[in-house]
Amino acid sequence: MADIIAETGRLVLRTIEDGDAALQNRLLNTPAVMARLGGVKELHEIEARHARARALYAQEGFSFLFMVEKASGQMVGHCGLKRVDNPLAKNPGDFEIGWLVREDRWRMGYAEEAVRAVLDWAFTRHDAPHVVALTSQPNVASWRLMEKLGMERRPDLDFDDPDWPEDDRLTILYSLSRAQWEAAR
Amino acid sequence: MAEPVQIETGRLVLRDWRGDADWDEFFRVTNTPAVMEWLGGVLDYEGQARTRGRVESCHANNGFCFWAVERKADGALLGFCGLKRADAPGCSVPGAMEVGWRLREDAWGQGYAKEAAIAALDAAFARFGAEEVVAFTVDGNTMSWGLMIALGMQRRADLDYRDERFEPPWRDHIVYAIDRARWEARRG
Repeated sequence: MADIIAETGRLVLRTIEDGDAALQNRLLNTPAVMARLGGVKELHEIEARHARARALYAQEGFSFLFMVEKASGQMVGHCGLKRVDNPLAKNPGDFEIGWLVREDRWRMGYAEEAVRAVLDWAFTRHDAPHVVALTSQPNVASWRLMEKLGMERRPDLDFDDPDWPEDDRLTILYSLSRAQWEAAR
Repeated sequence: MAEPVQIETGRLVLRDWRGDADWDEFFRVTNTPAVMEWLGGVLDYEGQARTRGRVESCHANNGFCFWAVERKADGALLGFCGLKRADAPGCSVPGAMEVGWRLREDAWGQGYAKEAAIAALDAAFARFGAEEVVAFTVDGNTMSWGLMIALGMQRRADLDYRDERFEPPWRDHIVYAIDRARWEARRG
C-alpha cells in the first residue's frame, strides 16, 4: 500500500508500489518523454530503479514518487527526491529533485505543481540544506522550470557523463538553498 | 529547373515533394493540435494552401525548400525539414538562409528532427553556399529551441523580431544562428 506524501490542487504524490514498473513503462516511458532523459528504458531498468527507490524510502524516508491526477486517478508523471548518486557528480549525497510528466499531460503546469510540493517535503520534513536538480542545455523545458522555481545555476557542479546521448551528456546543475526557498515563499 | 534533391541520412530521406498525395499526407499527419501548438495552431484549408504555396515557390525560386521527410524503414512521411530564405513580415534577417522542421507527433523523441536538420544544415553549407543559417521559434516552443541548442546554434537575441501576422504566444520570434566555421568545426 502506497504512502500519500502530498496532495496539491490537482495531484496526489504517492510512493511506489508493486506493479508500478509496468504502469510506468506503458504510460511514461515513451520516446517524447524520455528524449532528453537518456532515451526509453527497458522494463528491467525501470524495475531496478523502483527497487533502489523503495530501498531509499525505507532507509531515509524519501524517494521518487508518482504523480496521480486526482480527476482521473491516473498516473501522470513522477517526481521526487533522491541523493545525487552519479559517480561522476561533484556533489554526491546532496538532495536531488527530479521529475517527468506524461506526454498527454504536458503544458498543464503539473511539473511545477508537483515539484513545489516535493521541495516543501525536502525542506520541511527532511531538513535538506539545499536541493539540486540535474539537466542538460537542450532540455529547455526542464531548466526553465528550475529557473522559475528560483533555483540558481551552478556551473561549478556541471559534469560530463559519457553514458548519456551526445546532446545531453553535459550535465548541468541548478541548486536551491533553504534560505532561497524560504525567501521565495 | 532546379536539380532534384534527394538527401539520405541513416534513417531518413529528405526529398522534393511529389504533388497532392504528399501534401494530403503531410497535413493529415502534422496538422494536429500538438504539432501546430507553437506554429500558429491547426491550419484551415486556406492556411494549408498557403503553406504549400510558400514551400513550392521557395523551391521554384531557390532550388531548395522544406523538403518532405520520409522514413526509409517503412516509407512513412514524417513531416518536413529543410531550407528557405527568411521572408516573414518583420523578420530581422530577410533573405537569410533558414532551417526549419515540422514532424508528426508520433515521430518525436527519436532523434529524427535532429537527423534531418543536420542533413539540411550540411546541404545549406556544402551545396547551397550559405555562410550562416538561422532558425526561428517562439519562447514557448522549448523542444524546438532545445534542438537548436543541440545542433550547436547560438542564441541571437539581437535578431529577435515580431511577426505581426500572429497573436501572442506565436508573435514574438526568437532567433538562433550558426555560421559555416562553427558548423564545420562541429561536423569535424
